[in-house]
Amino acid sequence: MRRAISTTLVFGLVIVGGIAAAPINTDTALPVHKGEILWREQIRFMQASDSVSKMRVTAVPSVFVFGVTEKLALIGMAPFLDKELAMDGIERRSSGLGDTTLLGRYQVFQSDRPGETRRAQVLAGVKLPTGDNEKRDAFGILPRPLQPGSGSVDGMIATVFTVQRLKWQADFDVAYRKNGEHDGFRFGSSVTHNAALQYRLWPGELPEHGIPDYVYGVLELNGVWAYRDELQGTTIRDSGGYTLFVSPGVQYVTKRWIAEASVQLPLVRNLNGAQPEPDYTVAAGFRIQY
Amino acid sequence: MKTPSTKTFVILVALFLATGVVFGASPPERAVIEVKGLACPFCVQGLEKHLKRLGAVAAVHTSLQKGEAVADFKPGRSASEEELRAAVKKAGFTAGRIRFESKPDETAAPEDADQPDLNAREET
Repeated sequence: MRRAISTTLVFGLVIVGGIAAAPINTDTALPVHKGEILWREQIRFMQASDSVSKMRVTAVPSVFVFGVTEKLALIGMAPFLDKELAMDGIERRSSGLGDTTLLGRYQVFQSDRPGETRRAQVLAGVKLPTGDNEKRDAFGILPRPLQPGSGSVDGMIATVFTVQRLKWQADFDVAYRKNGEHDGFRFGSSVTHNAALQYRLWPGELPEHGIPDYVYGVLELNGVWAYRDELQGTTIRDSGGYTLFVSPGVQYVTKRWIAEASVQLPLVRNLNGAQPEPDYTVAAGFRIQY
Repeated sequence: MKTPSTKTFVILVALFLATGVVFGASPPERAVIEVKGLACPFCVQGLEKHLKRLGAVAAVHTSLQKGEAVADFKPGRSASEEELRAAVKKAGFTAGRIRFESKPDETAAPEDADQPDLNAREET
């Protein structure tokens, strides 16, 4: 029986969340100041399985952000991927640099008050086929979902809204990704939607002077809805669908860096046809600003 | 010998005092800036960096609870309100009221410390 694996559902979650003082799997509209360079590094371990197959992906996405102005930021992201598929007693594996994503982010709304800000941003960009998409092993060329790269040029747009107060922060984002075609194959385009709440657990009260480190408790909902993949213009039945994760996490926030960890557990797994279903994702990482 | 008149004496004293006032006036030693939109530690670094880039600013002390940043000026120097507002904007925030202050005289008697700072001036 042929089994498809929706790349978007399994690997779409490789896309890291926000860049500034953001939640872990959701974007933010908080500012990247003019001239700021921000580096974010994560390690994400994902597993998807069903009765006959199991797929594991370890992704290390590196994100660099540059604040061109206080409203415009440029973002570059490239993941290193290690993918492993066990099916019918056979294990296949690949690793290497994945596709590179370049994004521009522009602030379209800002309302500031003492101890509070509300902001909205729009993002647009492309994913470039920098990852190898013709890797082989002893059994021949690897199936497309196991390749580090897709081979296609994809476009994406997104919008994000943030409310931040001294005690808590809420972020909401929606993104659409239109996947291109490569070699007669097109991964299903997708819509992702995320909502996040960060609540300051420590310190309970802010000191009158100085900047304390924060410990945030984070709770997110991360959804991915993907169209079916297409081969030579024909949709593939066992691909695409909808997955919704609940993602509790914790962050340690200082003036200079953030350390964070999160686990994503599926609430809804409504996939088309027969596909391995996402089991969980574990993410940990840090971000540093210069 | 003709002695100076009372009128001449008064004029000389007035000129002396005026000269003392002019040459004795010192620039403010710090600016207290209300920063709107500042709500987490990770956002503070950009604000402090842009304020410190102003040549006149020696140090910045930020309070999230108060929602303000205090920019200490280098001796004999100060930044204008426009420069301070521009720095806050580059950091991605909105400057509210800006108050220029001179530090209280540390050699003054303790009871003087509670007196209002007559050199303070407030600009909005």
